[in-house]
Amino acid sequence: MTEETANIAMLQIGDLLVRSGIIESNLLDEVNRLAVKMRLPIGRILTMHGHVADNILATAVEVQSRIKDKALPVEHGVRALGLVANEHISLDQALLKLAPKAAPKPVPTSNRLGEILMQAGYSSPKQVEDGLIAATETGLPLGMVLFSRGIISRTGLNSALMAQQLIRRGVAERDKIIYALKSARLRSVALTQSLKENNISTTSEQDEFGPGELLVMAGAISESQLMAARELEATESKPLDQVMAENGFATAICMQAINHLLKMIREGMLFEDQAAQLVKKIQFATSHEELNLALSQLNEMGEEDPEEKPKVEVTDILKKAGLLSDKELQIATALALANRQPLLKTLFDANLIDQRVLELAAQCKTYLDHNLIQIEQATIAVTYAMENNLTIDDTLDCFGWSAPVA
Amino acid sequence: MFRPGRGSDQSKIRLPKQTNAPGVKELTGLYEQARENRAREVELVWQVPNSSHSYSIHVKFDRVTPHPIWNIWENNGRESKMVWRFETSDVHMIYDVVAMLDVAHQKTTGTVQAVNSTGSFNPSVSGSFGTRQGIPAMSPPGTSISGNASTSGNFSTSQRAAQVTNSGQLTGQSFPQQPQTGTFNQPASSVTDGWRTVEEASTNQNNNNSFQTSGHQSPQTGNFQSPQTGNFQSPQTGNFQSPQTGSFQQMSQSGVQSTGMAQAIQQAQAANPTGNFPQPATQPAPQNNGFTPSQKPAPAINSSGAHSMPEGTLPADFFSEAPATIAAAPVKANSIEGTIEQNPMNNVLTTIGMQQVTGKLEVVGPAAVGHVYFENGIPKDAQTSNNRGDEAIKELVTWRSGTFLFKPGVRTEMQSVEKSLQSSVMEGIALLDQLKHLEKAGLVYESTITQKQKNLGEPELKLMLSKGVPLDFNTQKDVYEALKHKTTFTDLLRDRPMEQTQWAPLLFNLLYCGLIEIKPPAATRGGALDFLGESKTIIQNLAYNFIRTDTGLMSCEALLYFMEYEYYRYEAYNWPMSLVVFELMLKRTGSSGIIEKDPLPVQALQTAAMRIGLVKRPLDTLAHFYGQDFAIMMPNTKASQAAFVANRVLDALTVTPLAPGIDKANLSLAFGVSNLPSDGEDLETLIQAAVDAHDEAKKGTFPIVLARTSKRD
Repeated sequence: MTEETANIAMLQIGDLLVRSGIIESNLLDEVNRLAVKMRLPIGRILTMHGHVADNILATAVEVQSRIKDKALPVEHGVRALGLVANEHISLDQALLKLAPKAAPKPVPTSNRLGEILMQAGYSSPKQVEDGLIAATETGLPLGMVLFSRGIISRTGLNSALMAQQLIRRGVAERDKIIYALKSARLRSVALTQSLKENNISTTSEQDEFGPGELLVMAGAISESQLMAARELEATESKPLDQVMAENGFATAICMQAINHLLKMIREGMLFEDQAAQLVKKIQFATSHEELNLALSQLNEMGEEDPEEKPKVEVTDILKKAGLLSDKELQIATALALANRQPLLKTLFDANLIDQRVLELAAQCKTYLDHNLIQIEQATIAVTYAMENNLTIDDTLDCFGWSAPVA
Repeated sequence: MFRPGRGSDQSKIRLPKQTNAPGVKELTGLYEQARENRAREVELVWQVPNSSHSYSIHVKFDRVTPHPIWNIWENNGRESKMVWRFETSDVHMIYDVVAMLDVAHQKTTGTVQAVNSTGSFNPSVSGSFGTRQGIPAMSPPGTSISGNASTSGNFSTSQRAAQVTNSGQLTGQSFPQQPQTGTFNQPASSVTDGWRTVEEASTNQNNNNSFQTSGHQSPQTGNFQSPQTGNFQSPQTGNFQSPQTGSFQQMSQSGVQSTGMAQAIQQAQAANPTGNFPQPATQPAPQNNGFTPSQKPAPAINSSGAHSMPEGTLPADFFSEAPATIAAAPVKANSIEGTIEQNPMNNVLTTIGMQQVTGKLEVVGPAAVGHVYFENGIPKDAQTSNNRGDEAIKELVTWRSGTFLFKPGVRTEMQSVEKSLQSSVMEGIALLDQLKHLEKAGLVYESTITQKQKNLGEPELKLMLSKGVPLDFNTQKDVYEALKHKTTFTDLLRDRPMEQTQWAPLLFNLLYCGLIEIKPPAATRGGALDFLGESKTIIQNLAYNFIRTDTGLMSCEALLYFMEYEYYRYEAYNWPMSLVVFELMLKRTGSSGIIEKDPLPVQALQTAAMRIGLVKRPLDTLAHFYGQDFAIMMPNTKASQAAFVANRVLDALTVTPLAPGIDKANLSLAFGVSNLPSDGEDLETLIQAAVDAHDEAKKGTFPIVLARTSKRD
């Protein structure tokens, strides 16, 4: 990332307002302090105190977006913002005034995520507008802001990002893709299914097991992190590998190795779970020596894993989840031995656990055995599923813990 | 006459019997008369031409309610039955219902309703189009459900339509060319197109281009040429296109009639009122182009479309909040598609029904999707996100925005629709009207609904409800009882889940029987102490004492202060409370290779606080905790929900760097979650459980640990 790109990426609304002469720098400092004190976004404080009008703040957000989209040079944006504030004209008019001979090119806003989310009915314009301001303040991508606020679901955001990619690649007309996305939202079906029903064929790239999936499978990143990386990949036009490295999800060397591992998977030299185990070890490798060391352990992995990880039983999950005490377990074990019947049946007969709890814990055990989740996640999943009457798969999906395919 | 067993009502005002269905003018007159004579019923009877059927419409204002009760009775010559009852001041809606009745009557009896005042019938006109009378009123001017009719060379009379009326005498032969002369009693200038005069129609046409035709020829049965209004051509396929409005463009073999078609005929007739339409000179008579009896029914026809309906139409935006725009929906070959704003769903459904086509209508609404499968114009299977079958069709009619697309030829084996399309559409229209009334009364999900009169006994309730739409009394009573306390509409639906088709008539009834009040949602919550004005600042300044100036976050002491209050609430009301204790530090490898942890820089910490602010609820409290740790107190929250929030916080803090160089790779995060009553009985045990879980998370493989100590030894 060049210095200029980095500057653009870190460009704050406050800086834009100061540089365009709308507010003084000392006012910005003061507002910054107040923002910290009141735990409110700077933009809100500026508008609340009447330093900046709502429309100026919205224009500043738009200018910032255009600068980030590389549709507007920083200086040009700053001057245009100043004109908007002083002469009460629209941003486009201001840009035209600044460069009357070369009318500003239409900004390709139609493929912005916010636009897509609004058109597909995932969020309202107001929510997107507020989300953009919050995104500016928190450094989170817009999609993650909306997701964090509970405005869109993980699936919805994933679908919207996929739709954005498809539009960008020109797979089909934008309207058709948006229609399919809206249809997918309303019917709660996968976007791929909706696309298929609307005769939009997607190439297999979307379904491919890529570096992101491998990192999720390895537990190195969460689904939300992958989703944010994908959003940044789309909005900042950077390769996914670069985004992963820049966000600290894995080192650049690790990403190179991951691509190599994926190639090995495709050639049938390695299984996905083996690659995932390896990725766990090299996620933050900073040198080729570390990588080589991990790769050299490739052949031994299958033998050492069972020894490394103690087997987790259903009763362990139940104990961890606070559903079974040691004392109860001891009594039940004694009874099971005396009656020569399985321990779980004894627990069930003694009304210490019910069928549903048993099923939830058993399913978690399956995932634990396959290293797909950790015992702590299993504990939370069982509790959450019980308290909210969900299945384990639904719960894992809620938490973004990669609901495994049964 | 219409209500056997009921004595003649001296106070009733009877208007002269008509031979035609009343139009807007008559209905408005009826309404006005009823309003001027409160508590007296005004009655108008009209005979269905060429049948023994008659209808009567009764309207009466009682002494208090703002809207009159409309009753429509049908008499088939033997008995009378009420077909419709509604309380509304919307004359256009009544007009619409009257039109629907008329069409429904044709459909059920298969008779041709003679359309002009003399009952004369023009087979050449009707035969050439082989269609049944449309529902002009259902297609307001400007809507683009129009413009496609097909003609066939061969009309079979074995179909259910084309039965003969006294005046029409249509029998089973191909329609001969029977140039009619003087069958229209009205002069051309006064021939109506069903709902408007021709002048109006053509004026409208000229104004809005809603119906511009390219031509139509009906080689076997007659050719209409209307130099003033355009030709109608149907070369071989009999395909009629309305390219400019054209939202409905049907495959040629499907044979279509639409309101646009009816208008076109009217225009042609207006141009040539004698009915002498010139024969096609150049077009050879085509072969039978595929309209066999089984494929192409030739239903009842309204040749002139002259329903003798008075002028006036439904406003184009009757079913939509959108302004009445003339613009047509996009046209696609062999498809019916458009927007609901421009083509209300009742029009779309009715038109497809009349076109007798087979296929699937897909509708994407603002909050749901739906579909209806048609077999020869008869709905077979219908589904929306909430309803199935007849209820789904009803629901679809209430949609006021969205898009629709008809896919010809798509079939299904599923059968869920039982009622006739007209019946469901009519019910849907009634439902829509109820919804609109409720909206007018200010109903939104946040509205507060309260009982208007407390302590009503069951008999009184029954009495008050008797003037409403007949619904199950017990259901109404239950819902009414549920509104005893201040309840928002959302609360009501949460406690008693109901579909729109259930709650709309229920609430409508309760509202218009004067039993409930709908109050606007509480204004946006400002400060509860706003009433103090300037004095509020003094109190706000107190809050600054809770904040640590170095970070802008609440101090640990302040957190404990508020936790105490929350604990009292737990004790008093048994509300669960959760505590999440977490570490948010910066990892670095020390000189000796050991991992060391530092506090986050203030800037990064503030960004982190803002991100947490996105995830947590406003009533959750984020604060410093002992040492370098932080905590979030969550009132009224179960342990698993608190774990869910912790997971969201984890995501929010790690998806992108908090500051340059502070990212997932070097952030140390560990969350311990505890809960009352799961993990103890008092604050001390709650805090201890959270701290223990937090410690466990620091050591474990996953950064969130649920305490769950209640059964741990």
